[in-house]
Amino acid sequence: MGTVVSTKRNEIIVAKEVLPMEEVGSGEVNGEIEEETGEESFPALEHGYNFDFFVIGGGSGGLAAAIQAAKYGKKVGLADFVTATPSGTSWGLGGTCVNVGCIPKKLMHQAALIGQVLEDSTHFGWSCSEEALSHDWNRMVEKIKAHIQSLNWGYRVSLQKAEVEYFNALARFEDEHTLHLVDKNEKEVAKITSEIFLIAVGGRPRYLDGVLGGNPGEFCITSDDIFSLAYHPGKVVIIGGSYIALETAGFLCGIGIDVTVMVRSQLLRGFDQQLAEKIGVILEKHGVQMLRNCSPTEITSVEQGNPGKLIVYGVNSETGETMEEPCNTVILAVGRAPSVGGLNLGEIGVEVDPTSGKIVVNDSEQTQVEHVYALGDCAEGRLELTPVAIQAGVLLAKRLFGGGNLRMDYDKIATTVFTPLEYSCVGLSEEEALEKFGGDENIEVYHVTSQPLEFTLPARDKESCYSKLICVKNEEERIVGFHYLGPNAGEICQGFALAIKLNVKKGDLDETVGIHPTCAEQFTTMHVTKRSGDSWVKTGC
Amino acid sequence: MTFTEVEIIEGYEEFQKQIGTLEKDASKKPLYILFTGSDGPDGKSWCPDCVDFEIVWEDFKKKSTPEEGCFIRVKVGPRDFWKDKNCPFRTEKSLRLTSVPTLVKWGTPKRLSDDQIVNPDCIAMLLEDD
Repeated sequence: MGTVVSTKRNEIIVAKEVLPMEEVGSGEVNGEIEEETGEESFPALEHGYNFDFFVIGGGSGGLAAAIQAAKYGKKVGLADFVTATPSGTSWGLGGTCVNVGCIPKKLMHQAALIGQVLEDSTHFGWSCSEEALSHDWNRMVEKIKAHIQSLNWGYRVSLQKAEVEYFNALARFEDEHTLHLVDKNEKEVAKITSEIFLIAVGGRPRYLDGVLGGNPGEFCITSDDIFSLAYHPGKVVIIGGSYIALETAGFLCGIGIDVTVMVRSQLLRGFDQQLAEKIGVILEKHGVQMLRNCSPTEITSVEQGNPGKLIVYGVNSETGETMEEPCNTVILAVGRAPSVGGLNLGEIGVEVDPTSGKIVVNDSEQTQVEHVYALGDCAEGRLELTPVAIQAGVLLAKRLFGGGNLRMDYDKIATTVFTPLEYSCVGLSEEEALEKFGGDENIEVYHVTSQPLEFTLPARDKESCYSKLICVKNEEERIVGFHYLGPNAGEICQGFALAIKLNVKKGDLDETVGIHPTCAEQFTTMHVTKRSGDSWVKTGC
Repeated sequence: MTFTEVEIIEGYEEFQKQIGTLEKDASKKPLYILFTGSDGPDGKSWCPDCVDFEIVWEDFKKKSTPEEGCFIRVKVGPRDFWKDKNCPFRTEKSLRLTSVPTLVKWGTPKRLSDDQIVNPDCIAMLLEDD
């Protein structure tokens, strides 16, 4: 960042660079130098530290916690830094959700849905020329980018208004109360101390190193790159079966891109597998080529360019059959890893789970070090969801500084997978329910397949929408799992999530009168159990 | 490179006429545009918040000013013209103003209005190089 404005903060930073680090913040410097080094700006507070609360990571959770803490008049700092991807993509303040996650994903999903509407429109009397159905990748990316930049700016302003001290710098613990902050040129911009720390650094996509040859990212991009890709990706191969893989396949296919998904084993691990398989089928119906039981063995570059030409070689683990898939862009969606590597956590005694690499926390988001907290995607055992991190962050700040005592309830959190037909769920998958309640005889599963009214005229996605309720038999059919596959899944599920959280029973839904004609109304009239083996295809109006 | 603060554009038509030329003038980049209520017969803006901002801005400049670019005041017209919800300053896609004063770094999402615009730290952030 060029120093165009000679603001007070920039003066501080410049002054700090010329001082030997031991002197800064040591308290041994005299008053005059202290002023020059910015000690005036970050004076030691009553407890002897510069800050009451310092947040590492400017994503959903970190921002929410910082702003909430500042509301209580606390001296709060926040450091955020985005390490560029191997292909050079970088972004602004706001974290994964805003920049390379939920926001651009949902907008690209919307681009795909609009394509469907355009296709369907002729069945409703509209005339749609061929030209109107073409899609401009670059225009979409530019529009999304502009929106994201306005969100980045909005976060900067809200931190400023809340008087949270913001550092665009990478953090590293020196000891359990001291943090080094280093800028993109690896220059130290500050060394601060804080009474309490929050680590909310999130995660970044994993690369498949070793297997594919070349450096990580040499031939592959990830979800970190696709949303701002400056050129049309051409034919795409997506490696992985995660929700990120399937959502990306869905929206790329929906805007007319040739997509192949290479999946080693399960689709949507951790989700209800009946629904996961249904989503796989829908993607295929929409034109995505699904290569199941298939692992990539090598990727070679045939021609460089934007996009270039690549070949993905793979092997089918069941048949041993090998395959090669020529394409222009390879997107890896093989999981995410927490960004805790550079924090020097070992030094200060914060425990990290050896398998996941995530920070071990208790149910109050506290790490092994009493005054260091962690939440969001970098905390062990937590759902990697934006609203979860926000809620946890706000509640943590309330408990720490606002006299609150409410802990984050991580149970029964609804989520949506934004595939062409969206999938929303809250509570347990059928597999989890069977395990938890001791087998088939203890749970009752109601289900129904249906076609939304708006899909009838264009005969779209016939018999693809599916709803399932999982109830505990000896608890008056209390609903412990809610699953819906169909349009507007997120909008439908949010309200039911409240009901499920309040332990709604199947009978309560039966007594509820539906809204006609909607997709959601079928949850008020479900009567076919899986056990009965009866037809679960809904007919009539 | 220098920072200039001279241009005053009066009204929407004049703004439309000049913005294209200003955008192309490399010596005036970046463009900072302040949208403000036009002056009344007393020589002061009809908009009290705009008058307040001028005080904050004068104060701000005593401490720091950008090294380059151009600061332009666009007067959005008399109160009645601005208050009309179909006022072109409110409806035009590249503007979509909701209040005056509004300060924008032209061609970027950076924009300040309401209580943000009188916050010197927010102003500094808007003027900062990206």
